[in-house]
Amino acid sequence: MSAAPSTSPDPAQRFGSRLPVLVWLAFGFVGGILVLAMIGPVFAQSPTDQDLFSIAVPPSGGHWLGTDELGRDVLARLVTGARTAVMGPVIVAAFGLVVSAGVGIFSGYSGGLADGIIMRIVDFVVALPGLLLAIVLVSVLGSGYWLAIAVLSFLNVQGDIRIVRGAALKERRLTYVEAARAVGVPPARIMFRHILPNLLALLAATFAVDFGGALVALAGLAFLGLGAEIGSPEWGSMLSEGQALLLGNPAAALAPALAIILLAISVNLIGDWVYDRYTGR
Amino acid sequence: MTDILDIRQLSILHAGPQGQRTLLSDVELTVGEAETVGIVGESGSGKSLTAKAVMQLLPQQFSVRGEIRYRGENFVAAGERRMTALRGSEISLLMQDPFTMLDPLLSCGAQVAEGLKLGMPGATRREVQDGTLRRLAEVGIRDPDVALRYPFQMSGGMRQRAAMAAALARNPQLLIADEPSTALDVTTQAEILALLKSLQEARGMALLLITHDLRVAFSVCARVNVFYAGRVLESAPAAALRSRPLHPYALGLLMSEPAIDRRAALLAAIPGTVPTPDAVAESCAFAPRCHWCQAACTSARPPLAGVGARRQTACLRIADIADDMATHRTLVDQAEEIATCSSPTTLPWCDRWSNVSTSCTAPKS
Repeated sequence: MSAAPSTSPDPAQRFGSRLPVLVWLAFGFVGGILVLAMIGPVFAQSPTDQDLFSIAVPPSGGHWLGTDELGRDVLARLVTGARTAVMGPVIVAAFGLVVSAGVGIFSGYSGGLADGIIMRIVDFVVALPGLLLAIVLVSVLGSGYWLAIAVLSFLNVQGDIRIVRGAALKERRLTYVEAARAVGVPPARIMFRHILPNLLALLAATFAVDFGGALVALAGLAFLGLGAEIGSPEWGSMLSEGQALLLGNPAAALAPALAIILLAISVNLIGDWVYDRYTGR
Repeated sequence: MTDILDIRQLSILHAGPQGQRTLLSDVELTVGEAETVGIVGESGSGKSLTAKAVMQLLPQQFSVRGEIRYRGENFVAAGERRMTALRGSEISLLMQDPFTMLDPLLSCGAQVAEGLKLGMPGATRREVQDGTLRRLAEVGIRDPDVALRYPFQMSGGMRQRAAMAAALARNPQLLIADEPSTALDVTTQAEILALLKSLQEARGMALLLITHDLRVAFSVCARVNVFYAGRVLESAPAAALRSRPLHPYALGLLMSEPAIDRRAALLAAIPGTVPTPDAVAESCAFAPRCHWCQAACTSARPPLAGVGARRQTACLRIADIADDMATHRTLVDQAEEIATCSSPTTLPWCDRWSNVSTSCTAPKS
């Protein structure tokens, strides 16, 4: 109980010299995709140039991942598509993070009538069949990347609110919250200066899960021809267009598929790792 | 002496899955200006509940009846907004467990500054910082670097000091300390209690100290209230309670703490277990375990009646049993003294006392 106060924690210990291999790989992969999303288009070939004399050719020196049905370079499309692939899920997850941190903590901490009303609204949204509703909305309202993001953001946020509310409910009962109340700290300050920072690890993990889910959902919409504009380099639509070419150039379908799967897995791995790391598990 | 805190007929009920349970019934308690008052009792006797009720920090499933008047203002009727304004500035609560009562993600200086800032709107960063360091120095943390430390870097005693600085940041007139030393080791306990006492005297602040340790209550408090099964059985000046307890339960409590300066031949214990408040609602709460219990004790609930100046007891039979209780106490004391020079097993008192202490049979309820 009277452990000597340690003033300077060993930095190697703090930042984990034993980062698991999988997490290293995940960080590497996500980092690579982020770099591609930012500066990839600068040095890649044009993703829309058609070379109708070399349609669906397998990987070669000129086209590292071959070409698709219109003779467009698959690698160029993959690299250019990284930006839309990352941006959409980031927006969906960021919306979930901000709204759930605000509404979830308020609901969990205040309890009572406000909590009841908020949770019934959330229950209503939970009852809606998510992806089906997204498909219907996007196809009725006209396809569009931003519309798809908006719909997904709306559908995704309910789960986050529930998770954060539950955590805030648990946090509210802890002694430090009671101690803060006992010295007259007003509720808003307790919620956002005390409870919010203590939930950051959870929020980071939630962000990662949301990102993975939104990435797959947006790719799914694009695969169905909803969401992304026809012809634009988007991983989901590349997968959909490339599946017919499996015998000619399998890379046209496999490359975007792998990119989607690996990115989703990597982000989830990182989210789990962050959560475990900062909740002391 | 005028009373800063006046609790009248305070009852706390809890609505749970097994229906409504009484946790505290008709508690009467006063704290004068700059007075130190103790609440002693076993676990579950309602000590902490009383503290939380005064602070109005009880969760919704608890319902509070009666009056808690602070300088005439009834807290039971005050709203949450009003209470937020009063907490920290007029009344403050120091909690028991120093390991969980500080926010793990804020440095100890920031936690003290947080309360302080509420009391000085428009203050500059520098003023708040100076005030924080002054508050920390007041509780014995003189190294300014400690203000930058996080709770996990501090020992239990240091955390308790930091929490005390935070609780006192806005100079409250009444501090409720809920077992402030219980989670600490013995030497640190003594330091914390001495600090609490000296701060109380220096500030002229009223202190309501909650403890299960009679020694602690006697060393710090001027007046002590004995809680049992959700009610007050005796309220007396500390010295009077120590030398001549009026309620059999108070006597039992006193005797169950053996002297530490000599060998004890007998360890006196109170037979039986603590009843729930509902089980003894219409009788004396201590009757099932009391040696002197009579029909009158179980037929109605004995009120907390005044006996002399600022002294009250809920025992009906004080006149009849005072001598008997004194004899009881002498027996144990003598046994202790004799034990220092002979083997404890040969004492005639042993048999006698154990007969006495187990001969009280619980009345059928």
